[in-house]
This record gives sequence, C-alpha cells and structure tokens, in this order.
Amino acid sequence: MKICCEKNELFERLQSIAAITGGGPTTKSILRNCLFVATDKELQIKATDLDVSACLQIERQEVDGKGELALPAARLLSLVREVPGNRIIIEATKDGKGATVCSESGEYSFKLLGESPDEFPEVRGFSGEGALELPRAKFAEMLRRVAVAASRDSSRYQLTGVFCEIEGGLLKMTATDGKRLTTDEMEIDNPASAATSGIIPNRAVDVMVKVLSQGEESVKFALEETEVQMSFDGGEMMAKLVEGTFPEYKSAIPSEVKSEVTADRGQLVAAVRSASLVTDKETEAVIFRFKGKEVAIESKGSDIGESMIRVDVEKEGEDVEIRFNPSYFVDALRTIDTEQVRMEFFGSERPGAIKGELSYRHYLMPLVVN
Amino acid sequence: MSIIQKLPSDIVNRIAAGEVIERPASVIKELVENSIDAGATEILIDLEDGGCKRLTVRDNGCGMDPSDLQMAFESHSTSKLDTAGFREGMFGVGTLGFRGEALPSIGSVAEVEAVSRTPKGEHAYRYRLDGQPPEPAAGEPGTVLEVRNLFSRLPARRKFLRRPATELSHIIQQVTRIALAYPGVSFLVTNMGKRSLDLAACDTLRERLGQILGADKLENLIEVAQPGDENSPHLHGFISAPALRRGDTRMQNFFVNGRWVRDRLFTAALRAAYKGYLIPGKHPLAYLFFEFPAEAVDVNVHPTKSEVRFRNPGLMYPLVYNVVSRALEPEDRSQEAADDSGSDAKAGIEQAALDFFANPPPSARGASTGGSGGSIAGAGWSAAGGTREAVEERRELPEVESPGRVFQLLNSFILVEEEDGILLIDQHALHEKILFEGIYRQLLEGDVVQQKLMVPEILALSVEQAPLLEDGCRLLGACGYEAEPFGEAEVAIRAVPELFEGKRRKSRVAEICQEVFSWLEREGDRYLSDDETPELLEQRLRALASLMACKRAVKAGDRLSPEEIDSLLEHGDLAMDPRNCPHGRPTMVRLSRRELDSSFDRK
Repeated sequence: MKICCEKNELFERLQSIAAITGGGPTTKSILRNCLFVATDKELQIKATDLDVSACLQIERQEVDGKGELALPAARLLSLVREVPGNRIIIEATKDGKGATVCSESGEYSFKLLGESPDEFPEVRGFSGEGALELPRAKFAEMLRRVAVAASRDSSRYQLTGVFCEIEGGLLKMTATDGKRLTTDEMEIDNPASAATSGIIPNRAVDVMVKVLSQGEESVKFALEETEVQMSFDGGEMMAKLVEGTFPEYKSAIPSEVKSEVTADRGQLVAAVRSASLVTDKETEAVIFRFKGKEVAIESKGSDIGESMIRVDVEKEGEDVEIRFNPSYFVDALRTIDTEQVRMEFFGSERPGAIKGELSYRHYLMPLVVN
Repeated sequence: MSIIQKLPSDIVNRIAAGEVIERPASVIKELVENSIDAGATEILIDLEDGGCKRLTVRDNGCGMDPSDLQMAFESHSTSKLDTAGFREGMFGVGTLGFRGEALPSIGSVAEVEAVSRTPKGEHAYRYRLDGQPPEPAAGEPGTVLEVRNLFSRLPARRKFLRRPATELSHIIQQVTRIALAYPGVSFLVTNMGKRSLDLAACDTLRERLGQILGADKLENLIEVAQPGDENSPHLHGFISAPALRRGDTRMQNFFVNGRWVRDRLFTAALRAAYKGYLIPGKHPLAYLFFEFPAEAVDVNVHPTKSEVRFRNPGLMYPLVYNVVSRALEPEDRSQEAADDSGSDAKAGIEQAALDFFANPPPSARGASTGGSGGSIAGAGWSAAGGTREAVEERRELPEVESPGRVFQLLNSFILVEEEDGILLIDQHALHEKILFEGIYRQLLEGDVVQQKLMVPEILALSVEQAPLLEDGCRLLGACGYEAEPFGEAEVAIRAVPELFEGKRRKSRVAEICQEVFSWLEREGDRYLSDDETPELLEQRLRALASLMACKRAVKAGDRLSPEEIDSLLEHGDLAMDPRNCPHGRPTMVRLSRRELDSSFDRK
C-alpha cells in the first residue's frame, strides 16, 4: 500500500485526532496509533481511545493498493510537520507493521515502525437514528465557547465536559468548573421533539471543535443515552458520555439584573491584565468599581503595590463594586468576538454575567473578602 | 524512757547527706557553690578516680577564719541568712547555698579536710573533723576543701558509685552548669593529673558557650532577652537554631537566679515553640536564665535545689513559649543580627540565608546574568561551618561560568547550581512551607479572599465523622471555606479560599475538606476546648494551615515543568523562612564546593 497525499490536509487530520491518540495513560500502545484504511474509493484515518473515536476522510490523495496501516500518531504528526514540499508519500513496509514516510522529492525519508493493523480496535460507523441536523460551524463555535468553563479536574468528573440538553426546538449547552458557568442555546429543527441530555467529555469536545470548525454544511448530531454520534462531510465521530449527573445549575443563575454595563472589550482586557500584574501570586483579586460613566479597576499586592486603572463604560442601573479573579475575567472576555462587551451584575456576591452575541452567557462567581 | 527519741546529730547528718550527696558530683556542686558564694573568681578542682577516691576544690574566695571554719561543719549552720532575712522566711535567699547541710553532710560520709585563709589572715588554718580545733597551716587566701574516700563508711552507698569515668562525666556536667551561670569565674578540672575541663574567665555567656560547645556552634545560637517587670522575671540566654539539635533534652539548661534547675514546664514550652522547626524526637539546645526577685521563687523544695517552685507558675510557660517563638521568626533573627555587630560570623550566616531568597540564582528569575557577589552562600543555618573561611577560599577556585542551572532529580528534588556549591531542595517540603506561610498568614489576619462557587460541592461524611459536622464546618469556616451542614452527614461547600484555587491549580476542595474532618477525628480533642485560649487558637490555626499546605503541595514523584520549578524557587524567595517545612523537616540541603571537593579527596 502506497499513499500519496497533501501534506497540509494530512497534518490537519492528524492534529484533529491528537486529543484522542495523545489521551491519558494507557497500557494499550495500539491506541497511540492512527489507522490508515485504504479502499478502492477512499482513504480514511481512524483513531480511538475506546471512549472517543473518529474516522476522517483524506480527500486529495492517490492510493496504490488496498490495505490498512497503523502508525504512531504523535510521531507521524511531527514528521509531517518537518517534511518539505506539498505532498507526502507513505509506503507500507512488506510486513505491514511500519512504513516509509518521505517527501515527494525523496530528499527526506523516514522509516517509521508501527504496529499490526489487526490489533486496532473496531471503530463503529455512524448509526444515529433520529439525528438532528445542525449548522456545522455555528455548532462548533457554540461548543468552543461553552467548553471554556468546563472543569479539567478529574476528581469532579461530572463537570469535565459540556452538558447538552435537547428540549423541544432548543439545544442548550452548559459547562461549569464550579467558579464560572457558561451557557448558550440555539434553535433547532427537532421533528421528533425528543428530550435528551448528556455530558460530552472534554476530550471529545476538543476533537469536535477541531473537525467541525471548517465547512458550511450541516452535521448530523445524535445524543443518545450513553453516547453521542456525529456524521459530517468528511468524517464521523462518536464518544461515550460522561457518567454522572450534571449539577442542578439553573437555580444558581441569577435573574434580577441590578445594572447593565457596556464597555470596549479590548480596553477592558488590557486594563484587567495590567491590574493583574499587581496582585498577590497566591490570591489574585481585582476590584471593579462601576460608577457613573466609568469603571475603576483596582488591585493590590501585599508585597508589590497597588494599581488603579479607569475605563469608560456605559452603565444603566445601580453602581456596582465587585471582585473577580482577573484571569477568569480575561478568559471570559476572550470568548467574545465583538468589539463591545455587555455585562450584567446582580450584586457583589452574586455572579456577574458577560454576554456574547445572542444567547451566550459567561457567568463568573465573584471573590469576597471574609 | 520515752519511746520517741531525738536522733543523734551524726545520724541526722547522714540522713541529710543521703538526700544531698549522691555521688562525687553532688559534693562538687555543694563545694563549688560555696566557693562562688565566697566570691571566688578562680576554682580549681582536682580529682582522683573521678572524685571517688579524692576530690579537692580550691578557690580564691573570701576564706574563713578559724571560728567560721569550725562552725561551718556544724549542722544547719550557714553564713547566708542574716537574722532579718531569716525572719522573712526562706524566700529571699539570694545566694546558692544556705541550708547549712552541705559541709556537715559531706563530713558525715567522707574524710574532709579544710584549709582556709581570709585575705587579711596572716596564715591559713587547717581543720579536720576530728574534734580538734583548727590549727595553723600554710595556704593562699581562699579555701581548699579535700574530700577523701567518699562513702567509705557507707558501703551500701559506695556500691552505687559508677566507674570513675562516669563519675567524672557527671562532675564535668555539674561544673559546666555552674560555669554557664558564672562566666566571670574560671574553672579547671583535672582528673589523675589530666585536664578534663578548662574554662578561662570570660566576659559574656556567649563566650562561655563558645568554650563549652565549640566556637563553630555559636553561629547556630540565637540570643534571646526579655526584660522583666514586677510580675515576670527577666529572661535572657541562648537557644539553638533548628539546624543545631539533639536527640534528647540534656542540653536544655534552665537557670533560676543563677541556679540550674530542672523543670518539665520549660521543656514543654520549648517543644511547643519549636513545633514546625524540628521534627518530633529532635530537641533544641537551650540556655535560658530567669532572674526573679528573690522572694518570687522558692528554691527550698528539693534538697539539691534542682527543682524550684514559682510564686506564679502560670506565667512561665507562655513566657518561654512567646520569647522562643519570636526569636525563631526570621525577621527577629535578622534584626538581632543587625544589632549584634560583635558577632559578624553569625550575622553573616543569617544574612546569607535570608539573602539567598532575596537574590535567588539567576535562573530562578529567568535572567541569565550570573556571577555577582556571594549572596547565595549558606542557604540555611546548617552547612554553615566557617563561612568567612569559605568566602576567602572561594576566590581561589575557578568561577562557574553561569551558575544557576536548575534540574529536577528523581521527580522529587530540585538541584540548583550555585557559585560555590550545589543546593538540593525537597520540592514537596519547600512548596509545603511556602503554602503554609501564605495560608497561616491569611488565617491569622483573617481577611481570607473567598471564591464563591457557582454550584456547591457536597462532601459526604463517614458515620464516625457525622457527629463532628458542626465543629468541622466551624473549622472550615476559620480556614476560609464557606461550609454548612447539609442534612445529617453531608457538608455543602459554597465558597473556597482563593488562596487554594487560582486558575491553573488543581482544585482539591473535597479532598482538603475531607482531610480536615479526618484530622478532627484524630486530634480534635487536643485542639478543641471550651476554654479557647489564644495559644490554643494559634496552635489550631497552625495545625490546620500545615494540614492544608501539605495537601496542596506538589508531592515527591510529581514531575515539574521548568515553569513550575521557576515558580517554586521564586515563591521560595518570597517565603519568610523557607528552611524548614511545617513539620520541621529541612527543605533544602546545601553542599559547598569544599564539601564536594573533599568527598572526592581533592584536598
């Protein structure tokens, strides 16, 4: 089997699956490999860690001979990065357990040891019944923004993912690590109007965001009881859902807005970052005093000094004084693309909400001095 | 004839001797104390067989005239109580001896001969306990007491004497104790013609300690002083830095009005004050002198006067604890070092230790300019031997081109290359200490910044822990958590101290809270009491801070990224006292170039 494909395309595919092949510690070394599957019609690259699986098409390719080839994904990715030229040639060795990877001109040539393709676990194809049709890029963007708040702490496993709820004509996503909570929703065409929910694990979300972010077509999305399946132009994906119950978060979301503020996002990011330079390493805290037409951003480091930065804002409602961890605050502002950012406050001990376009909300719990 | 008879005086004396005279060292104690009370500035002790066969104490004190000499050996006679003093009772005696038991007691259990001459006397007088009056003899001003064949008339007691070498060591210990209290007096002990202890008169306790411990130990001693007032005694002396420690408490010496005493209270106070600086089983050295107004202390509760009773015992523990704790804090140490210009070496070491973290090696700051100054000499009290010498020697050694390379070893230690050696840091211990200081400071100051939680974390307690629900929530509250009972056996945590959170740090809320409950289960009785004294509160906060620091710190075996290592070293630089972890283990070990060279036989 000999494959000749576009370097950039291969690189992109390998990057997309890196979250799967580079996952947690495993005793099954085959899972560190990606599997090339060449048939008469197409060339696929597959990866699985038994929880999350992906199967992606490589479009611009020429294949000589059918067969399968398992190669270590991370190593292949770094080789592909180094090889010059636009195209890459991968040729399986005779025993089928390795390959020669070389540049089109033949100046660069690597011999890469792989594993027997027979050991590669089966990756099931898409079988989602009653799948929803969702706009691909919009869905990926929504996932990306919401996933920012998902916990990375494996001890709270039920928070280590994005909670998806489908209810009537609405798809809702929520994530929280306990200190911040993101939520967004989109209207969907849900003819079966089945209500389901599930937590998509972080690792799957990473892959989904990567593979779905390009392309205008739609994605078929099936949220089943224990897994999520997707089919899209150029591939398929599936992932086991996180077992566990997502906490009852709705009551934590405040409702009575006390003040609403609009500010220049870039200015605000710069100001908060500057203020964070003068906070204690161990206890970062920045005070925001929204008063009249400006916000005074203050910080104080016990061994460092103090800062005071003023930024113009437009405010409706009461004056607010509230403390946030500056890095969470900046993270939240960065998930927004608009020039202006709108914020809602509900009191100094209630979460603050940073609003994106449409329905995206990033709630941030304040710090309080006890 | 009445059944009850008065004991003959020689029997009384022997009974008294049994209380006071246990071994040659007790004789020495009595005689040397007499010499000091006589104003001697020079005391010579000569022994045969560790004093079992013969011991002679010669002094240059005020001496005795013939009548005093004779009186001295009569029971309960003393020169140290005038009638007025006696009327006030035995409180108020400012001299070492006074019970008037010593000489008669010794005389009853050994052969004693005294030769004494007053400064004005034309010659000395000799007196033996044989009923004969003192006879003229040759002799310098002062007193010579010779005691032979101790316990020869009491075979039962003689059996208890140990080998001469053992008895000698007891004598040395005894003389040393007295010598510490009287630096102005010179002491010479010879046994079988060989010098066993030679202490020249000196001006300060510090010099005397140098004579006794060796000058190299001085830099590891911390001077303490606390002026007294009408209620509390004047306290002064030295304690050892944590690097200088022993496996027992024998080097802990307490003196009340110049008299060496034994008191568990002091030992306990020291132990409490060193908590966090020394691991259990290791003890500091201490030489603490308490000066009371004479009437505030009763020394007559024990025949050898090695125990005393204080009029106000409740004051003593906090006094020692507070003075010692304060002295162990590094700011105090640097201040003290600055004040004490007479001790350059000590100041140098301490400053070097503090400087290390004020000017960490270049890599710790991410800069690469190396090779300025010797500020990283001696990052700790330990390994401090002869710094000045080391500084001079270093100039001759080839300069390390760019010191400050940093490595992680065995996923547990950090190796820092220094200009004149290497520093090995225990990553867990140092991180733990840094966290401990931050946590403790915040808990103490009470302005804990809390991160509110969007959704509470629920912690389930075990059956055994359930009864501790309320107490545990209260303690968690003191640690900056917002925790409240949630049903019968669950805790809802609604806010966590920001100190433990930070964005990139792994949250271990449930784990830490669980740890607090386990700790409460184990040690709650010790730290919870209806009577919440400031000391108890402080100790509790320390214990909690230490517990949480331990949980949050990186562990041995954790692989650290270069950024994490840099951050650890940088934080170490901010820590007040990075040298010991909260459990008292050292956080770092320094190997100087000299030590490395000598390990390879390069010198």
